[in-house]
Amino acid sequence: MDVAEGSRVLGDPNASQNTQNSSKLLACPVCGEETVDLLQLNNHLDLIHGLGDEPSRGQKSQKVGSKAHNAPGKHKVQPSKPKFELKRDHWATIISDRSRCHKCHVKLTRSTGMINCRKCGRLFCMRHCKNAIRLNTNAEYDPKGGEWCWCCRSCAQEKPGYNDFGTCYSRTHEFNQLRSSRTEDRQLQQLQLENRFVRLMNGILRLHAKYQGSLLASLKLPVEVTQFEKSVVPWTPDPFAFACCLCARKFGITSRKHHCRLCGKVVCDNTDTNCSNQIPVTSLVNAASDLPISSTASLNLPEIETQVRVCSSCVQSIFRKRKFEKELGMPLTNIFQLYERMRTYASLILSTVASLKSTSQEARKSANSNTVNVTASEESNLSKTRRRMVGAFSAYDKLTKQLLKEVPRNESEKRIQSAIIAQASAFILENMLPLRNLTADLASKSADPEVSQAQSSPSYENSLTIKEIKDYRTQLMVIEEQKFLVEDMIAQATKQRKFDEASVLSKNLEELKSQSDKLASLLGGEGFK
Amino acid sequence: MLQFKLVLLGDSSVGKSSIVHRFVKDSFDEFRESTIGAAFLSQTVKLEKHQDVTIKFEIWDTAGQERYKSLAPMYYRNANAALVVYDVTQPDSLVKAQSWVEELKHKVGDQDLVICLVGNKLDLCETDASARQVDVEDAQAYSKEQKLLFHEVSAKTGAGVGQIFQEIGEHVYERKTAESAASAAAQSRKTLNVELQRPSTNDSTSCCA
Repeated sequence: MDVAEGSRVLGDPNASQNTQNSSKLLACPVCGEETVDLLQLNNHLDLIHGLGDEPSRGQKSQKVGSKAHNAPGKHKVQPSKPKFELKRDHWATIISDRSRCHKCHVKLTRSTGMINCRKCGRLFCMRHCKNAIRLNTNAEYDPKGGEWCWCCRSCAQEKPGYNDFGTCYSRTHEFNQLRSSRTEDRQLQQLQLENRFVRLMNGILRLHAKYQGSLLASLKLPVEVTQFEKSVVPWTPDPFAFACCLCARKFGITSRKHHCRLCGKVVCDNTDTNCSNQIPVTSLVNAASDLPISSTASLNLPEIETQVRVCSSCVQSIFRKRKFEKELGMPLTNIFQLYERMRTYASLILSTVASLKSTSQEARKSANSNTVNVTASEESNLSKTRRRMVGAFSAYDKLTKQLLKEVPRNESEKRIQSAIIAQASAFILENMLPLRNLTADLASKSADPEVSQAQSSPSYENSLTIKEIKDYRTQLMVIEEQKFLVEDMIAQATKQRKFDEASVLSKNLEELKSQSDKLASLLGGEGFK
Repeated sequence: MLQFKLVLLGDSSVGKSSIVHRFVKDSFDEFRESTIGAAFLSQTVKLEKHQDVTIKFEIWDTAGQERYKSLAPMYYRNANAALVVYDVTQPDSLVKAQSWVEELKHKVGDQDLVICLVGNKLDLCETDASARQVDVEDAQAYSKEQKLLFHEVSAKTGAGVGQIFQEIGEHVYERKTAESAASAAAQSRKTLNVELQRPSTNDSTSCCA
């Protein structure tokens, strides 16, 4: 009951009494000046003591109650940045003469400095808490809105995205944007150029159609064509051009100025640089057959003799892609045909290897558990796969050899050829391994258990066949046995003081040892452990 | 004392070890176990033809089983003599012996190696003539053709064993003496060619010229 009463006493009535009391006489807690009411005190504190912070005002306005409701309206408080208050309850407390730096374990004194890492809260000396990171008030990493705080090195390194060599930004997106904008630009330019080209060709063809069969053709046609050409693209005026805009060679008496009929720029006609060329209309039309050039059926294209001057950059931008596509459509040369076929075999081999891995693993599992022997169907399946793989490999190998014999047409084809061959040999080496494993599996299943046990363990690293390995192993075993025997004989001979015999025997032992070493090196990884 | 390396080759269970034991220890074991690897024994022989010169045989008795075939080259490589043994009651063993002879001729050559073809288990034929499966004439003809020494022996009774080693001993001894004589001659020729004068150093490159 006491408690309940007390709580009631401390509750609302008391508070209201308090406010009533305080409204009569209020002394400033800082300087002791008396104020009439809370509002005045508040103003006094704000103005004189500069405590115009948001929290304090809020507290006061709560205390003030009904009167203070007007306060926000009256006092136009600037929305200043809230004071940054970092969470501190995770900080380790400093115990004088006890606390040590977490990093260097030096006793923390005033001279070494003592500081809590703002992130982890552990104590450090000044030297080991020198990194700055941005934290929010809950001492969490906040690289954008946080405040710079001291922290230890480990906390700095644990920051997400930390790099030893600095910060890493991904700018792929930016790059892609930039590139797409550029390519769009270029595509737009090309489209413009193509449209212009179509217009030019159409116009010239139209003029030809107009004068077809006319006697005036030889007189009037060139003039009209030139006029039309000028209407398609505004030509750069001659007086402004001092040098070819492609090769930058100065114009003079020997190098005349020419206008590209597609871009209108002034270019030279140097035969070395090929800045511009007179190209027959017929070949231009034929080269860009996919463009909507209105072919006048009555016109016989090969008879048109008009030539058009086009600069090399325009030719490039219009025809390069077309040429490339046309070449793509052409039948492949022998080397590439062979390579295509090799690719199909390679994919076959790869898929078989993948399926093989799973089946052989299963088989091995069942073999290891020793509960069920591999069933006949599984075994036949394995051997079938093996046959298929062997076939694929031999076909692949044959193709590689054919490719090797092929005579390359030019330098780059030669390079491609050698690259393909190198890749093919690497491929065979890499993928023969599972095949050999498979062969071993099959062999071990057919052989007696003792042998199979010996064979399931090794990894087939070098290029010995299973039979060779078996042979070498038997030889090695025999030699090891013999070594043991001869050692025994040597001991016997020395015991019986037949030293001449012992010397003969030890000579033989040396021989045996060298032989066994040779065999062991031959076997490599397949030897006995 | 001159030492000669002798190796026994042949199919399994033709009696190689029995022959050697008869020769070295003059004993016979009816139930000998098959040899493992290669056994080593040595025995001295007095050569009756050469003023009782004693020579010593270092005998490597190899195992006949297929498994130990890879050991054989190591033992016949530097051998002075080879005994290729077959069983007169087993025609297959002669075929095997012939293959051994071929291998020896192929790998070592006749010049350095005295090969002797030996037909063993003659005692079986004496008790029962029908037991013989390999005719003496056939084997002898083959030996002649291949220029081999030939003997038929019985390790059980010991008949003919001593003669083999006598004859082989004589052959290897003769070869050895001929060889050493030749080398001595070569040595003496060489000594005649000793240059008594130093080669002239009076060329322009020498420092005090």
